[in-house]
Amino acid sequence: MVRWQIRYIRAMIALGGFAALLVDAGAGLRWK
Amino acid sequence: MVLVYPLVVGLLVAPLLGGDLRKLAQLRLRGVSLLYLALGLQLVAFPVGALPVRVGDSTAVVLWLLSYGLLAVATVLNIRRAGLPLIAAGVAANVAAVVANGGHMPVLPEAMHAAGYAYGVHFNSAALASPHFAWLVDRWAAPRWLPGANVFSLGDVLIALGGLLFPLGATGVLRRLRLRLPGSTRQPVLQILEAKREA
Repeated sequence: MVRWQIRYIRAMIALGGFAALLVDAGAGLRWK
Repeated sequence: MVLVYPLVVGLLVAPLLGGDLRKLAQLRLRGVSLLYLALGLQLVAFPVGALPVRVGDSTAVVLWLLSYGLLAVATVLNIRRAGLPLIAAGVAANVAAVVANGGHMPVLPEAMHAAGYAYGVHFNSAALASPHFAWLVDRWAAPRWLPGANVFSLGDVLIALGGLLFPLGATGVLRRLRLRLPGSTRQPVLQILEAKREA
């Protein structure tokens, strides 16, 4: 895998983590 | 899930405001694994239909509060990023409401009915007419046209604002706006004043 692909995958993982933070930070995954 | 919408909106409007989506490739967050672990804990605490896991109410509360602990650590690790201070404040407000009311997020009955629901306890939400910290509980109903939305709290509003600011910061929009604001000339002015004082 080339360097830019690795960079984008890492960035998407970070963005996904941030999305998880938003979902979890409300009153919980199942409800909001 | 509705709290992801501001992130999506931010990513969509960023290019229109002069942001560069390519900057997302440089996005680095600390403690990302903690965020996914927190998501995993919430999946176990409040399993979706397909999952074979079922936990009791008190276990779910403990897992949920543990997930909030992980979120708090990850948020503090990234507190300098745009939007994160607002999210930290939102998390603190929601946790305060939950802990002060026995481990469930209280919802005011009028907000619950306006959102089209009627229950006593539903997952991590509990209908309470007179909760502690009443200003921090779920007290408003989201508009019906918003898919997946139900009720929300002041903490949720702060989290949503943080979710909108984050992509604007990560794509360089906020930096561009700051450069255009008059306050951005403050630093050179201070340097000139200091130079004059020294002379």
